[in-house]
Amino acid sequence: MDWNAAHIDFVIAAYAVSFAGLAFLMVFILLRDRKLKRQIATLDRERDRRDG
Amino acid sequence: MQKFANPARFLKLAETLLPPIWGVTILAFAAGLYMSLVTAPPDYQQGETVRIMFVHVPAAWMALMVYTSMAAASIMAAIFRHPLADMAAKAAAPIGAMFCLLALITGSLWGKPMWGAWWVWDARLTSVFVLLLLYLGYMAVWQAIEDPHRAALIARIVAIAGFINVPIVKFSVDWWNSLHQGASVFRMGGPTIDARMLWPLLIMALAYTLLFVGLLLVAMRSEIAQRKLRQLRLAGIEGR
Repeated sequence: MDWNAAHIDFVIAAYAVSFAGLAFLMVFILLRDRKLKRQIATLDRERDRRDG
Repeated sequence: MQKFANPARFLKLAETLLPPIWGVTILAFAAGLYMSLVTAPPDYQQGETVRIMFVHVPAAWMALMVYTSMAAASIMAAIFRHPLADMAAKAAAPIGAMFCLLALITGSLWGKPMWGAWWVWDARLTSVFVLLLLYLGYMAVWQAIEDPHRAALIARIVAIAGFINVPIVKFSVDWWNSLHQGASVFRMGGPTIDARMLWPLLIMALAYTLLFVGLLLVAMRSEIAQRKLRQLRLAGIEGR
């Protein structure tokens, strides 16, 4: 790839936006999954404590 | 498919599938990026700008494929009452919306140097924009309606009715005059694109597809967890 070619900044921007967007999506989905797992574990513990 | 209607069985399957999917996704992205940025030649007319194709086209394909899978899952939910089908469609929507948004942004970044405009209201661009609105509308239905059964019913209607836009996006460049180029891979008579550009494109498309599958499995797991959480909270309220 010629880094001095015309319009190369558009190419770099397209790749940067794509990978930033995909990384944001991954982090959002994985963090939500982790948060829900934690909430279920907390509620399960509370229920076990309540039911003895 | 009914075999995986049991959420416990699905969760077990997802747990087994996810590690190899993430591994192959990383490999596919590494190979795809290397081929896209290093081995693929510049275009004789567009020069280096053609490399935007390797991120733009897979995102656009995925935007269409994800919406098609959402419509298929909605039909399955309506006909077979598959308990995971609505969850699959709901989990796929934000992923498809992101692919659609990326296709629009990277298309705009490709359009400016090639057409001299960031955006034109031609058939292809407008129909992809409508696809993004359909994704957002579908997601809004789930957010806005509290009763999950009612939300699922209306979301199914949106997904199935909105599917009419998918062939419009695909054939818009044939049906109307468009600045956007016609199909050069999925067309009668085979691809017209050079193999040195076709392979990086296909590998990047594979990487995007694998990423979608991995994220879909995690998002479906989250949907199951959210449903369980709702049940636990209801049980907690009733238990007091």
